[in-house]
Amino acid sequence: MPAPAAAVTRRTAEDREAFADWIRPHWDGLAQLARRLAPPAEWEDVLQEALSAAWRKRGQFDEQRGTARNWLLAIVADQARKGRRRMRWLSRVADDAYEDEPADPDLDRAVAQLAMRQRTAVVLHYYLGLPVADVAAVMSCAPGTVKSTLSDARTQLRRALGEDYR
Amino acid sequence: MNDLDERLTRAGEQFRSAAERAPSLDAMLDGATRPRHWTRVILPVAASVVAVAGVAIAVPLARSSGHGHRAAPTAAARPSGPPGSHYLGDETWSEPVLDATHPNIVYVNAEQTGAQGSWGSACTTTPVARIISQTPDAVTIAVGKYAKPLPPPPPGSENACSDMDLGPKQLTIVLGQPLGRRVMIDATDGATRPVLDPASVLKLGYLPAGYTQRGISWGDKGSAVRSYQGPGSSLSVTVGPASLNRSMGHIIKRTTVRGHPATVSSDFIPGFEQDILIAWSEDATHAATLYQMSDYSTTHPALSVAELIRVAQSLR
Repeated sequence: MPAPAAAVTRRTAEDREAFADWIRPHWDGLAQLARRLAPPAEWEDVLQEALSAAWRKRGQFDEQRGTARNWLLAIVADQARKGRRRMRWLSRVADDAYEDEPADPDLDRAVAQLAMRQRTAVVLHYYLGLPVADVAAVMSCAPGTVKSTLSDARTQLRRALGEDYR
Repeated sequence: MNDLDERLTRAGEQFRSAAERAPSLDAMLDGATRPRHWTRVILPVAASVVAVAGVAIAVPLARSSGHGHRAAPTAAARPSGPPGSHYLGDETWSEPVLDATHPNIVYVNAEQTGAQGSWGSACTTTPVARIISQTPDAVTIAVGKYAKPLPPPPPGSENACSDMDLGPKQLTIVLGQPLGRRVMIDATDGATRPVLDPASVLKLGYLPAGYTQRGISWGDKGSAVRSYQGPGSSLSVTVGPASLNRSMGHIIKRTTVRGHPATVSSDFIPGFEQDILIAWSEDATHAATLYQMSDYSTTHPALSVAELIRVAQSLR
């Protein structure tokens, strides 16, 4: 019979493998969301912290309340929000630029300047391709709220991009 | 689909198809599953404690119109909080709204996150409002933040908090007398916060069957929003700056509301019913809108354009 400490270590290793298998199908999407929501110099830290939070909170996941993907995306969005707060107060580093050249730089700049809730909704819906119902699950709000948030975001984007309002 | 939708959709497709390298999951998992020390908590926690400043925007609609007055911060007495919790300090509050029927009740918003937790995480906290002082000219309010101690960490892991709440909590403040013309001051920073008076916000005189009023809140850019919920849609009346007078995706119709020229327009989200916006200018500096957001979760139809115009024209 192994010593208690060794048993704990083994259980942790087994847990870790199961956790990795559980996360892996969603990993690229989580990285994409962190890349879009977090400041450029911080997105990998945000992803790391989100992964740490998911590991610690894994016992709290309830599949009756939603999918693993939405639960994990919500953690990334939450960490990104907190990361942006820290950045704003600690260093005021400009966060409206990306490391990689985007396909539509004007649009990317405008999206980067949206309020965090609007930006989160836009990135989840348009960039990650989630339907409104899933965006609502990630953002812990009603689908109607997502729709109004997207509508407000598009209004802001039109203003930023100089589109005619008719 | 309009130009912006196409542009966003195209940017999203390109973003998803560009196979950008994600960091190694296994490498990151090493860091994620390693126990950490509480000494790393200090910096992010301290930052998040101060990063909850609300922004007060003065609007003519507010009872206390907010002249940007900034008094000297008041030294707040240490308050008592929920049983078993400890006091983490005061935080700023925002968006005060006067109760529609009780002139001595004011609601304010305060954040519930960010004061306690492990590295990169934060626990839910409980904000508690208290009155610091009431004078004939001003009421000074402070909001204290409280949290309960974390339980001991399980073997091989660490405590964490399941804080996923993105919104603030509304707190109720009962004053000794009606607020009247007095200003409200945040004890944390000494700033005056304009108070939204429901009496200053347009109200529907006609409500379609099944629709009820829900509440009043601050909107973007110092606007005020009165909300209604019905079986097939929600309605919001917004009164605020002149920039509110705009249209969404495409204009359906032009009409008159409260004697002013108004546009009826609609936006489009693929797979959902169209939402409708009626907008007009009240005067040179103020505008108002009636926005109908369809409810996708019900089979009950949203209001027709004609019915929505009738609703808008009943605003008083």
